[in-house]
Amino acid sequence: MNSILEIENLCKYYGKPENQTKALDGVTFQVMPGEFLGIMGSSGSGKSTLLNCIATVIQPTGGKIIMGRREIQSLKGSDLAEYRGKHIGYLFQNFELLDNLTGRENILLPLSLHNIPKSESDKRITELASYLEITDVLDKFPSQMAGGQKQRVAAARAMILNPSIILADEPTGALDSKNAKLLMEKLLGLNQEYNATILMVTHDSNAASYCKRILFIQDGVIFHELRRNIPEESQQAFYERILKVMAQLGGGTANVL
Amino acid sequence: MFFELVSRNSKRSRKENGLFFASLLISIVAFYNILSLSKQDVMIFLTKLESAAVNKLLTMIPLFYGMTLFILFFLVYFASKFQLERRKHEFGIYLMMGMRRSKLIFMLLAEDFRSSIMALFTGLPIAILLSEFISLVTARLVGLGIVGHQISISFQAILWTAIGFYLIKLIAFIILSGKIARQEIGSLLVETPEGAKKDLPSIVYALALSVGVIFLAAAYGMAISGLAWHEVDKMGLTLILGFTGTLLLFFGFRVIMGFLAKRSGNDQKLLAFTFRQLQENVIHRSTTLAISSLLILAALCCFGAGVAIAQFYSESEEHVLDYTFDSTSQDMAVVKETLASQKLDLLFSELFEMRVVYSIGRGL
Ligand SMILES: Nc1ncnc2c1ncn2[C@@H]1O[C@H](COP(=O)(O)OP(=O)(O)OP(=O)(O)O)[C@@H](O)[C@H]1O
Ligand SMILES: [Mg+2]
Repeated sequence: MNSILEIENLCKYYGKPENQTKALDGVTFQVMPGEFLGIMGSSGSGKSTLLNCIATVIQPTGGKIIMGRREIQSLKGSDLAEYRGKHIGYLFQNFELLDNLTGRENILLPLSLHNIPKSESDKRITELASYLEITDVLDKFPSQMAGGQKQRVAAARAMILNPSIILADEPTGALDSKNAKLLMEKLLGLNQEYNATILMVTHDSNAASYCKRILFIQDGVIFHELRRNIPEESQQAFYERILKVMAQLGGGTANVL
Repeated sequence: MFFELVSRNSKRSRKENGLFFASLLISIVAFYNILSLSKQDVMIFLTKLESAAVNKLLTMIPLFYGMTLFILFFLVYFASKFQLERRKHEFGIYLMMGMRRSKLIFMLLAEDFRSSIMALFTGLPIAILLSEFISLVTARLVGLGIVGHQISISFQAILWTAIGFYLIKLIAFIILSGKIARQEIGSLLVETPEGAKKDLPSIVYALALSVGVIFLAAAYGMAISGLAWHEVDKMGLTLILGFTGTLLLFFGFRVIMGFLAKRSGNDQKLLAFTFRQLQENVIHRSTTLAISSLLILAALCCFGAGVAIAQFYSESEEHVLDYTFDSTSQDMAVVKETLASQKLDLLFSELFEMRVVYSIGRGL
């Protein structure tokens, strides 16, 4: 099977040479179609930087990002806009909905930016909204919604154009445990039923236990990988395995070595 | 939906950003009132009597217009700048959703056009009313009856108001949108404090400070000694020196502030914090600061020039009227009598006779 996303030796350095932060220092991995991949690491380990490079929010210092045979750093103009709008869906930690648009308009925004007739997507928005349980907040403004509803509206916006991959940066970061659980179940459903590929960055071992595979990142490099043995390993067992690795992470490198 | 977004955004920016909309209205009102000066009752009346002086004044209108254009440009520029900076994050989201940069600029242009039209439609009636009001009040003050007042809408003034207004808006827009369009999405989405961007070695700031002081000293020296007033070149040089000197001075100022902040940092914590706030919010925006101070200077100069011009006109032209009486009334007494019979004698402080002598040369 061909990978959907390929990251090769990705580097991102911030600041001037004499005072540099190496946020990413040679990261290499692949994402397969239909995968639900998690990325974990302590704060400041470069997780958001990685996601932002893939989403073309920032320019990497070196390395390659290949999405479906195309190197995305070489994209320009309408190709780049197309890539951002149709090939990736971005889920932000703080939702990033536009305050002056209703939930429905927020979800439809990508369509109008790509000149896709609304009639085509009407069925899809109804379906997504009922799946994500946001039908009754579609005509409210973001300021009138609860955090969990906002994040699910944002998820619908990220999904509306059927992107090849959903990038989620700590999507549960601003939610309480109940809403976080609901969102993770919905994301898992999108992954299993709609076959969406998801790349999720998280702190939260609970949220991470929904993934099929987890990469652990520290100081800008990948240092560990966990795979869930489906179907024999339960989510609970996987969660406990994740906790162990996280404990090692917290205990410093001496324990890992 | 695209144009719906445009209309909603421009409506919101009008509502939320009173400063911005007010600056647009002020520009329009100012332009119209200057341009329609020649249509004011007092002006029309004065043109009949003292056309030379009034014409002199009216020839200054284009100059005045240009000056206003220049000063209001900065008002509109900074108001738009703050407006766009507040919305940076929103633009980041549009780009993230796959909006092309060209489309973003087109959207901003459409929004800008919409709000300009709204400003013109709101501003012009206000401007016309204000100009009529001024016309009536001044006529009253000068003592003209308002019998002759006619509502006079100057279409030429409206046209030039619209042209001037769009011109400054467009220039401000091109500069600002160029700046926005070049930024990475990341820096649009995350607000970076001004201080985080610039960290040149402090010697650069010290150098800028001293060069700024030298430039300013040279500019003031040239202007005060009178050297600047000899030729246009010298005046230009003085202005450029003054302008760059001010910019450099304010740019270099942070070296002093940094020094003060460091010195006060150890013992008085809150003071140090206040200094840091000043540094971030005031000193690091040195260009804005420098331009505002230059504008204040320009406004003061205009005010000074206005007072001087007004004084010049009121002093130099004492009112002397000459009347011709017909040949039978050449005697002074007869003239006085005539005036008295018309009850006009109290209006004249002094009467003196002027004889016109024709000398006819006789050639050989
Ligand atoms: N714009 C920037 N300029 C300079 N350094 C930065 C910038 N953004 C991030 N960094 C640095 O890069 C490193 C990685 O940051 P990043 O945001 O990727 O961490 P993270 O893993 O997402 O952390 P968290 O889990 O807390 O979100 C950090 O050390 C951070 O200080
Ligand atoms: Mg992060």
